[in-house]
Amino acid sequence: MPAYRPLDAVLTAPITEPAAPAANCQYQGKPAVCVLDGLAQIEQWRGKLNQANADRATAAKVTKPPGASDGLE
Amino acid sequence: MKIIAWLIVVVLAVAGLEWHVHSRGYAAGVSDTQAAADRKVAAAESDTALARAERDAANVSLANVQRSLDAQRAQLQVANTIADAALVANATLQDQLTAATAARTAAMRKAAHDSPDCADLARLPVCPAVAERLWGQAADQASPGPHH
Repeated sequence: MPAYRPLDAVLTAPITEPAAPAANCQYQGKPAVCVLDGLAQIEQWRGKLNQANADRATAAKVTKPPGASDGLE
Repeated sequence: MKIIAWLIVVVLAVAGLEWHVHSRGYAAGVSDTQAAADRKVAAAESDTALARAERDAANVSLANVQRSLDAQRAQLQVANTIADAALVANATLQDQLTAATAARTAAMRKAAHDSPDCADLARLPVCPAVAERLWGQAADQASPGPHH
């Protein structure tokens, strides 16, 4: 019997991708995404990566049997 | 007269022999019975000792199983406590990460706004072909193509 509980659903739920940027610029008279808004999405994606890594670290902590040495900390 | 004396001697000898055999047989019977009883008692005592040893061994292993179960239960409680604390810490960290992402985005926009070299980025549109690949038709109403 493993002495730890199953992984919490919070840690396994899919992470949604960031929303598409609003079309604040014009291209040939039609709405288009500004380059700056597109570049800002890089930070959004970096935020998602940080979220995923935090969840991974938590999952490792939660599933580690008590008494095992801390390999990461 | 001599014959009578011999007869008496013979009779006495026979009687003595009879008495001796009789008395010895009785003693032997008693001692045989005693020995058999002793053997039975010894066997019963041996059985009792064996049963006691088996009972003690069973008690010891039962106590070991109980102790192991108690230890596992305590371990599970510790693991649950650690997991709860880790999940709470994770929720806090996620909030901090969301705030940090917003702060980085704002700082990036501010830097672009403040730098004349980057001012054009806020006015320059992403061309339709690239915009459609990156964000689909929602962000590219200008040229709806066959892509999904």
